[in-house]
Amino acid sequence: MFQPIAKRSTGRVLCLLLFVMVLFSSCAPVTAPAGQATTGAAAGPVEIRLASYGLGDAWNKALEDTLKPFEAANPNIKVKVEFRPIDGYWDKLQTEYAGGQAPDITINQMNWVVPGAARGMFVDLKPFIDRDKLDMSAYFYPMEPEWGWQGGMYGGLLYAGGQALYINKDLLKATGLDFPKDDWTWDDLLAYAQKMTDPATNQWGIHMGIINPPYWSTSFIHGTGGTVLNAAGDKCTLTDPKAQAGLQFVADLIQKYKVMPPPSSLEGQTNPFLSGKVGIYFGGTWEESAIREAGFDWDFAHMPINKDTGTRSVQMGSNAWSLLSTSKNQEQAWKVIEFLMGEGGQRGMMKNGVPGLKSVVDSQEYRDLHKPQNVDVLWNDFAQYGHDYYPTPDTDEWWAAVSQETSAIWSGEATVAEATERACKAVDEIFARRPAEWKR
Amino acid sequence: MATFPSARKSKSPVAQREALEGYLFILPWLLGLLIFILVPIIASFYFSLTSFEVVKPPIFVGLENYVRLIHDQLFWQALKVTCIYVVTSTPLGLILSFAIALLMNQKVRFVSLWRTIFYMPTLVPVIASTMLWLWIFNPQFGLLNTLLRYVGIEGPLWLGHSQWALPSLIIMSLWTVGGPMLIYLAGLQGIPTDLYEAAEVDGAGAWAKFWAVTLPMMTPVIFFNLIMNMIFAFQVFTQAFIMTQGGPRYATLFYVLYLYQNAFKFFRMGYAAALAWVLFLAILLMTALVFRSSAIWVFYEGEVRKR
Amino acid sequence: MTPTNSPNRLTTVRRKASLQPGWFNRYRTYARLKQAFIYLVILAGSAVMLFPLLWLLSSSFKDQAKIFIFPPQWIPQPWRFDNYTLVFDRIPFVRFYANTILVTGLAMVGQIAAASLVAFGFARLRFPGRDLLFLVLLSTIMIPYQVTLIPTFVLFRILGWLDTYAPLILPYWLGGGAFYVFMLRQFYMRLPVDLDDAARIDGASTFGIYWRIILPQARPALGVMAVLTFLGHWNDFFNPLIYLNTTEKYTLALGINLFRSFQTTQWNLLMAASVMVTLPCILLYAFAQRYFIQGIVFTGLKG
Repeated sequence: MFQPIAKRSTGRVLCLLLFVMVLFSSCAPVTAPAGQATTGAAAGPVEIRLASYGLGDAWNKALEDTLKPFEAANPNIKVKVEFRPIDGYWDKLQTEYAGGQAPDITINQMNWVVPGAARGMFVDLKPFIDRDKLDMSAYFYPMEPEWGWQGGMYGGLLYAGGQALYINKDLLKATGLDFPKDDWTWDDLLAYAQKMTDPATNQWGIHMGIINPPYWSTSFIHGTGGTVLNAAGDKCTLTDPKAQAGLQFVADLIQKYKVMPPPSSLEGQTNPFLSGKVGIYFGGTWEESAIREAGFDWDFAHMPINKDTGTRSVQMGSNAWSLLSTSKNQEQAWKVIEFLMGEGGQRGMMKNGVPGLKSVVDSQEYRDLHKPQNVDVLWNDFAQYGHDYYPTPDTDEWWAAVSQETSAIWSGEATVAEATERACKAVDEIFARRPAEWKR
Repeated sequence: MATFPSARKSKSPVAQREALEGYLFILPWLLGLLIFILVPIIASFYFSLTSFEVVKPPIFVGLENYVRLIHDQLFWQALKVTCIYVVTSTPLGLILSFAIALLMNQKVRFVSLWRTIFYMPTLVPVIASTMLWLWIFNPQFGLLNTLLRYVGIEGPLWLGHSQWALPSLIIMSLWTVGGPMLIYLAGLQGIPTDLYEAAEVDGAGAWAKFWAVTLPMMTPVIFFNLIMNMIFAFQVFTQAFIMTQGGPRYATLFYVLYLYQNAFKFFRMGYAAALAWVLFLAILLMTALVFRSSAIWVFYEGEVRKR
Repeated sequence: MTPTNSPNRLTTVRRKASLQPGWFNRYRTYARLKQAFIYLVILAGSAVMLFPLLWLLSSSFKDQAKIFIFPPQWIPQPWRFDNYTLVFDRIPFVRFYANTILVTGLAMVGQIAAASLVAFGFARLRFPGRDLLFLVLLSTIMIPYQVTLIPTFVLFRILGWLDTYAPLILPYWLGGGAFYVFMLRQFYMRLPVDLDDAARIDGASTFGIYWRIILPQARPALGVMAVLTFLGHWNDFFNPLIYLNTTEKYTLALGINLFRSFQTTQWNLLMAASVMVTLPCILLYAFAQRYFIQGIVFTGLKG
């Protein structure tokens, strides 16, 4: 019963195959070199499709309002904003790109920019930046480490984001502790945590929202002088004793001192910091508005210092706007990105994230928005101790490998040594398969 | 495929007319196949012979993807996890859903209410039910471990532990047996009453009637549910995607999850397509085996057609 | 294990029992024990099954911060009835509802019509290549959609169907989906061929047999298919996600996901919206089950 197909239809199958191949070679996205994109020759305004995941209706409205003055000033450009669900955003974008229907501009994030850039998905913005003489030193936020790839620049800042350290001041008061000093150390952190932990009331000293490297536990890896990858980004360095010591500190918070809940115990639970059950919270900047609504007194704190190395570290990963290489109106699309990166965009979105422009982040207006919290702590730590998430063209793949293995540390299934050994083996195998043209 | 009486090549006008009508009846599907299905499927096969990074045009590489697959430990891990899932969740789900369908076919009060309730889990949006299960499995406060603590057992970490994560997802799968249950229920309606009457005349008790009438008459429906549950179990994806991301330590790395990661996260659509075709062959093989076995145990009233 | 449509089993038992008075009590105790056991199982099972819905319902009335706290709170404190009105303020919910009804209705009708026709062809008629074609039909569900997505997308782009409802409706009019064709075929094949032959002798056409003999007999299966296809289209997230771009065209499954954003989700609103999305499904099911479960009392054509 299975045979006839093989005999009779071989020819037909081949024909179809050929047809499909032709179909796909013709559908492959045509990329125009940056800087010399076609200027909208047609009469009437050019429509620029800007896609973003919806980040809540307030956010969506803020973006639309931000773009209004731009459209007023540029009657020849009409920005059509498409809000899409965050689930499947990246899949859909890739599908659209492959199918020749991608928007002109997309919101972008740290694990997409470089992988996309390395495969020609985004336009290098550097020629535009150089031509229009954008002053990159006006930004406190360094974009290069995050969105740079082989000398090019593939994102324009939406706003800065990353790790933030939140403290529940009500809980501090109840425990009789003062707000941590600016130069507090890991030992202080542990002492604070121990005092605030109370198993009877299910109250924890510390909680980390996302724990696996390159997320928040990385601050401790860096604190002891370790790294996740080497500088060239082609070797896993988690097996280095320094990196292991950092991870061990976090593991001890969970297992030895029991001042931090293991991640699995929080499965299906809302962030316990929000319900006032955690003293010190390592979270993301994007959580600020939720924390603000939680109804207790809190503030940002500096990251603690490791006494031996004298350093502290904070993870930074921001949202960018990127120009897709399939865009037929790259000049106009760049204008939109330039506006969003600039004063207008940074000011318009400053309610929702940390503006990257020094002038905006230093303004009284921005500070007032965050009162009574001291928002200077947040961006000063970024500016001085910020570290990127080790973006590489295969980011998602090695991140997955690392988190599969390190998650076994927190559940107590593996020691730090075992887990890092396995993680590095997997990561280095992934790196060994890299094509030659990915050398930095 | 032994379920069909093989179509003989009789050229009688009646047979010719029947053949023509047969093609006419399946015409909608044939058109759909040609327009919407065939080209994408063949394209995916072509992708499996290429290095295709989704956002770059595919480059032909021959069988490279298939060779690589053999040396890929994660491929074997995904295959292992999926096979364990298929051979446990499929029979468990089949038996449970059949049992519930039989129960729901009893003379009990408020039967339509119960039927609605037992179907409820499949009606609730996945996102809501996933969040619910996350807290059922929560090691500290979750329902499961709270209950276990009452009887003096300290429960495992469930989704947080590599040995318990897969069993957790299997348990979870049993909760949505409403779909197959529904199909069984419809099947139970189709059993001619006179068969039961005849059995009763022969003095058969409830148990004997079940074995002699209900079960044989239900075999076509059981067969359907078996095949489909098997295919769906091979393709299970969503729970692991939302709840575990394949972890911890790849314990829930389902085949299609790994395939998805390759396709849309790791920029290896070509490799993903090769994975898809290997999965296709595996499912096809299993289905063919079940189909062959069906001649022995599936009973069709309408099957025998000799003229 | 007695189905409801068989003659009332208890009366039969009683009839037999009354002939032998000694057995009567024992039979009754046995029957009662059995009933008690059945109710116990049903109640326990229902409790497990009802859990998610109750949780969904209670979450939809909660404060955002109170949804996932331990120990779980079953009675919302405070009650947030305004979650429901907020849903309408935050997204064009009515619009999404209308879109979803349109898409679901059109896709479902076509799917049922097509699948019932195609299944009839495969189950009741003989033509060369039938078995092979059926195998092809089945194999089309064995390829994971992830690898056919891009070619399908390109196809719909060439057809000019992007950002329209056509990709969500028209493919279902052609074929109806292998799952349902297979399901209906299994149900058709349980019907005795004598039915067809008798009708044919009475001068019925093949389509007449399909329409007047097979379809009425397959009503339970068609009812099940209606419920399953409705749910499938109503809750479909993936296809609308890929093919729709304009927010005004979104369906509910897509629309309620707008309450989710990077690392944060407005769970209370999402749950309130989910309740409103789920309600029609429950109503439809409650209504339809009458149809397909107590629908027909089928007697075989024996003689």
